[in-house]
Amino acid sequence: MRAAALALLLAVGGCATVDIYQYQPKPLPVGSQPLAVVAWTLQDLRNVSWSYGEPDPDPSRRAELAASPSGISAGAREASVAGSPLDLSYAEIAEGVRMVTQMHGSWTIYIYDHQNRLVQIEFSSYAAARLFLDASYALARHG
Amino acid sequence: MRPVVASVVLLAAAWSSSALAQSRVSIEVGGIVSAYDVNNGPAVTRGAVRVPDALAGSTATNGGSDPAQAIAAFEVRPTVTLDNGFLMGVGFRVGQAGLGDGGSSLVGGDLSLGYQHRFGQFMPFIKGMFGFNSYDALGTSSGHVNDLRLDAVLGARLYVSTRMFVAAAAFAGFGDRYGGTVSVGGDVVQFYRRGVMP
Repeated sequence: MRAAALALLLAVGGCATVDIYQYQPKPLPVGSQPLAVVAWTLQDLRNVSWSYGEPDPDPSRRAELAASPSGISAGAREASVAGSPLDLSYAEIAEGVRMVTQMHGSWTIYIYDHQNRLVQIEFSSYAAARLFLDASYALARHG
Repeated sequence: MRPVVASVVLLAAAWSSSALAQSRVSIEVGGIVSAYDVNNGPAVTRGAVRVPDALAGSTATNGGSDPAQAIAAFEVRPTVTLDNGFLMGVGFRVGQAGLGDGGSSLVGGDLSLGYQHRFGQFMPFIKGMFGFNSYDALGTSSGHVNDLRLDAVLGARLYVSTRMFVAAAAFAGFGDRYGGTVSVGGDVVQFYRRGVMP
């Protein structure tokens, strides 16, 4: 009875399996423009999370993330008391990728910037995560 | 919450070694029975590491009942196990101090650190467990006792499915003199290292 109750609890609560991958760059498809690819992948961006010393962020906060020739940047739409904007170069992305995880179809990239601060970028598709990293790597190499 | 999840993921990734290794976050629920030096009142000071609390003002009201020197409790224990063998759990218990008529309610908690290794469905473990028991001294109306405890625990899990398991353990030490636990549980989160991203 107790086991059945626990099984029900876990089933309702939702058990999770997290797949952890290492990233190794692959060349982009021939003819593709890396910056355009980065911009395209951001259409599948689900969440971006960065903590630069402020307390746990309010999950209702919304940020806008944009790609530029030098890197990606994000800022909260609403002014926050202690938060600071995200500014991540492609070189930091290429060198700081620690791992990529997949859970329930979401792909999350874990990056440490040059000051060893964790940035998490979550995509809703494998293709977006893969191409975002490959394009960032290409831009870092040519930048 | 996200930083906590991220920390667990990073720990699981950093401390994993093999290509298809696995780390888990589990929850166990079960029961524990232990031989125990239950405090019977202000004149009794047995036990291991005892922190008297308001015993001086207690009033003896022992009506002659003599409950067994043991405790029994229901436990919930979230546990993290990594594929390199690391094990950490935090336990919460609620039960009875002194079995039989005249026992009093008991609450407690503990932190355990240890080592485990999985052999197929079988996962033996050994760990050290530090915690406390808190209960009303038996035979008094207001005396309250907080006992610290430090135990060595030896046990095993048997996985009956990919996520569900039954577990049993025996322990001995200071505070809890000796006893055993039986529990069932499940893996809430499992981490797999899949190698290079496809």
